[in-house]
Amino acid sequence: MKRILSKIRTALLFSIFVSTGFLLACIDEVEGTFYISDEALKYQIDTTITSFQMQDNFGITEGFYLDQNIWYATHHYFSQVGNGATYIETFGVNYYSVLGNYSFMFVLRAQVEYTQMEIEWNQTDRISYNFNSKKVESGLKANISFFDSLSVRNHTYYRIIEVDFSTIANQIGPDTPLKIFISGNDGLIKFIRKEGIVVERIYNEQPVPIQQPW
Amino acid sequence: MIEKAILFIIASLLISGCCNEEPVEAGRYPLTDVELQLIPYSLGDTIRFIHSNGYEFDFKVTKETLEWKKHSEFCEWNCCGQGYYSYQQKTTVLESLYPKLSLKFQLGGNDWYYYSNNLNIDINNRFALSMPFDSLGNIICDNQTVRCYDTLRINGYLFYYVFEKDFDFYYSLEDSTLFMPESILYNQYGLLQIKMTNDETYSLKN
Repeated sequence: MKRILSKIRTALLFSIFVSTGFLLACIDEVEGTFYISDEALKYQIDTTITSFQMQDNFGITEGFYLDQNIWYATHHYFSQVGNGATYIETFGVNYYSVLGNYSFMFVLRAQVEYTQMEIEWNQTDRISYNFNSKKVESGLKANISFFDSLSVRNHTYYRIIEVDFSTIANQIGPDTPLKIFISGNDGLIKFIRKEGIVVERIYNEQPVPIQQPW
Repeated sequence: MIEKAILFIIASLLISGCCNEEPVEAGRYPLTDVELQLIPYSLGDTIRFIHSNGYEFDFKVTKETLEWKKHSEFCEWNCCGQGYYSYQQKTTVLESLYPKLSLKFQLGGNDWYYYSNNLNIDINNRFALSMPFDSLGNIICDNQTVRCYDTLRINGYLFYYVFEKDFDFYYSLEDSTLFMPESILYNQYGLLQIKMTNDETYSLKN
């Protein structure tokens, strides 16, 4: 019996050793800098939009502002991973609402072979979408759709992502919307809450810098 | 023998380090009845409000506590027998489901500090204001930070002795030009109205 146990222990140690070796070899292989794919870059939200307003179908206004604290302040960066010779590109924004205590996070992150998109509502309900496999690979299994454009309050927004939690409504928090619409340039443009309340972006043209006469 | 001597010295040091002095209560500050009436809500009450565009919703009183708290000055060394004072704190919380608002009313300081004779109100732990009152429980009106109206018509109803106060603090918000709550109207019936910076209001609906 002791001999059998000893053999099992040896086999386990050997397998750990071999798999660690393989892992290290893998990390060696992926040295380099990995960028967000061109396809995903189309959805990089304009970080000069630091606040915006939305209004629901009852005429109640809600404000959102870009979180400039901790890591959110650096919206676009390269971070070191693995053995230190690997860098991945990350873009991320996080918005908080003024009244409703909503939080909306949107991240594009390069991986070795693909780019991943993370969307999180209220720091709890999260999805992670793989632009390569075109699938939600972790988090809630929401349906993700992409459109060219969407008209919201008589303004047309482009490069639209729709996140639809309708089929898994019982798995999301009470204040996580059933549907979220994000514009590639403008960020959050519309969401529909569980009780049917529709909250839409109020389009506000960004101020044009004043040209000096000299 | 040497080990026993070392043990004896350590034990003596430990015993001499113990504090046998009881902390001394240097002051005791209860809330008076007239002060407690400044927050006229009871646990389980439902209060109907209406948004300026017509949407009606209910606030429910989800918390009402009256408790004694202790405060002592910060002390790092030689704190044995340090004095403290006791104060009474009342906290009442009103919550609505949509719009998702949580209003906290506090007397006897806020969650972090004690300061007497102030009614503290905050919305969603993000927007806070403080209204001073005198020893008779009357909100002090200086017509600058706290503006007073003998009568004021709100949502079609006439209210007497109304106080208006701007919000003092905006947690986590660096941009004061953002859309946010601007001020509140308050009187003996409690919160009468929240005014937003875009002129939208949330008003008590009788």
